[in-house]
Amino acid sequence: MMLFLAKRFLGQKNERSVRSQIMLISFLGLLFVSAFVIVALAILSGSQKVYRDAVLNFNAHILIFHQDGLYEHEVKSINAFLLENTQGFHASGYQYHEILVPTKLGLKPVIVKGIELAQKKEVYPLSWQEEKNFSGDGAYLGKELYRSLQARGETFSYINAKEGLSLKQSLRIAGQFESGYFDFDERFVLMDLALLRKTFSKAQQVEGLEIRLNHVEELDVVAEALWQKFGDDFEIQTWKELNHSLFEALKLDRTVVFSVSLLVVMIACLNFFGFLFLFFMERRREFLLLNRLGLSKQGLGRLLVFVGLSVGGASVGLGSVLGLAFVFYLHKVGIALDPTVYFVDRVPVFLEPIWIVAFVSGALLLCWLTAQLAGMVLLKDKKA
Amino acid sequence: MLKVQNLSKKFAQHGATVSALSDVSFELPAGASLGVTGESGAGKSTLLNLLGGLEKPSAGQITFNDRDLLRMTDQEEAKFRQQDLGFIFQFHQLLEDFSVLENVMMPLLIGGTPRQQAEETAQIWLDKVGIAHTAKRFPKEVSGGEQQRAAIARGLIHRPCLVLADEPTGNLDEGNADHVFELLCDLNHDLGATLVMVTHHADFAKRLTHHMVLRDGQIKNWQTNLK
Repeated sequence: MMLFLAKRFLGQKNERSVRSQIMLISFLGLLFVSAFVIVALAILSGSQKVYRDAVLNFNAHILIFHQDGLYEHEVKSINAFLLENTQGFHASGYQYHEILVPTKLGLKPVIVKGIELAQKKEVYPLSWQEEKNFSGDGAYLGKELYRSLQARGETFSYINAKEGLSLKQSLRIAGQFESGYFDFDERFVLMDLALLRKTFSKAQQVEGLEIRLNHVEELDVVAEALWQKFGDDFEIQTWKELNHSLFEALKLDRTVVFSVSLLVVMIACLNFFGFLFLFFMERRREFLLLNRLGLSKQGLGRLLVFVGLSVGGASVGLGSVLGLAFVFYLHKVGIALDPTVYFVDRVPVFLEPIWIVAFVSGALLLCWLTAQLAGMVLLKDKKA
Repeated sequence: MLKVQNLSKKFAQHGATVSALSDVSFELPAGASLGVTGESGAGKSTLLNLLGGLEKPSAGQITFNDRDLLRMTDQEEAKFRQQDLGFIFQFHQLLEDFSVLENVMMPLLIGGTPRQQAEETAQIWLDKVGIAHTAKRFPKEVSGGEQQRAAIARGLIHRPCLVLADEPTGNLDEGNADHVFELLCDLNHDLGATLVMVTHHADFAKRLTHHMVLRDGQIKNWQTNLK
């Protein structure tokens, strides 16, 4: 019966009044706010995921280093300790060297990072792309650097900063990598430790060890154990500590977007309350007539809530579908961004189902509360 | 039996207390019909609203078939309206967004009757009041007389034992008013329900088994018509 009554009450009236148009505006308001919040949440999740993944994939979970470097026996000792104290891990020693690369815009400072290339996919789960028909030793250029040099498969020139600006040398290009984070993809060259040592005459000991755990959830426990065991001898940092400022910024981002979304949703709900109240007032005579015909106050209250939830649910539902469609468009087609400003080349989106469910549930709950409130106001007034 | 004892209704107006109904008492046997007349403001509609539970009295008691109508919970009141009480309003008060058929079957739907069955019963009642052809039309698409007949069908469809009619012929022309009044009396007689009808037509009131004249909220005259 509720469905039958609600359908009739919500049906198109022959005469469109100003009230009906206000109702339509309120309905559309809630619809667009729902769409906006879905898109905002998707972009927020997307940007957090891009930054987090890029940082996490480029930097390992735990970094152990010493200003004088780590000797082979020390690396072995750390590896042995990790074997006993983790559920699985991969580690790579690293060394850095700075070079200058000539580009159309002048010399660009680039960091060459030597890693254990055999472990590259395990320790650095970036997007790796090998050059066709390449064999032997070579360097992997960040995607943006590769693009800016217009490198095509063979070599690229560089100047070894330590040997003077006049000495121009070249390195073979083994391929390229992509972290998704513009800064990394533009400023880094990765190569095998042995090649780095040979090319730039570096010392045999690594500067530090990067460790990727198979189960990231044991990060804090493992870091604490490492600190207990090796804390007096080496510096130990986790990725959280390394990227503290970035994650603080992301947290601030999230807080701001959440606050703005909450405010917008609350304004939409106030608008929706106005809509329901107007709707109920317009139909007050009919609702009270139903009461006279035997519909109890509770039944009338249920009908009002049913009507409110139907309208609110339809508005939130349609808005969510519209928002999801736009997110799908952003995912498939995308909107370009200036990567030198935003560090990503297009608007990142990622849908976290729990957020969508939480938003839709919250919005429906607010619609329910709004309908209850509007219904209570109506039922208090007994004048027909 | 409808029993009203010392019924009073006062309300505040512009800071003063106004008495709409004062110390009204009467008894009406089951199946009887009462016509209530009086000038505007005499308390006729207030009496009907109190009998129907639409307003609460300031004092007094109303019992119908030994049930105290003033001591019912919201659920009991709703049940009473669904099963035992039929309302017929002056300006028909049909729901504009529902067809004539849907309006008539509304009390049955509210009472929990399945829709198919309610539709069939409503069609029978539309036949009884002579407007079967208007079933699918909306209230605005039918005449005033047809609207009032639909309101009568709606008020009686659930076979109530107490029917309250507030000037059911008040907005009809003389010919139509007479037809509607006769129809209401006949149907009510068939049902065996107790009828309380507020009317401006003294002629109509005199044709019922009892006639009450209200003045300034008090019973000025009570007459039992022996047919």
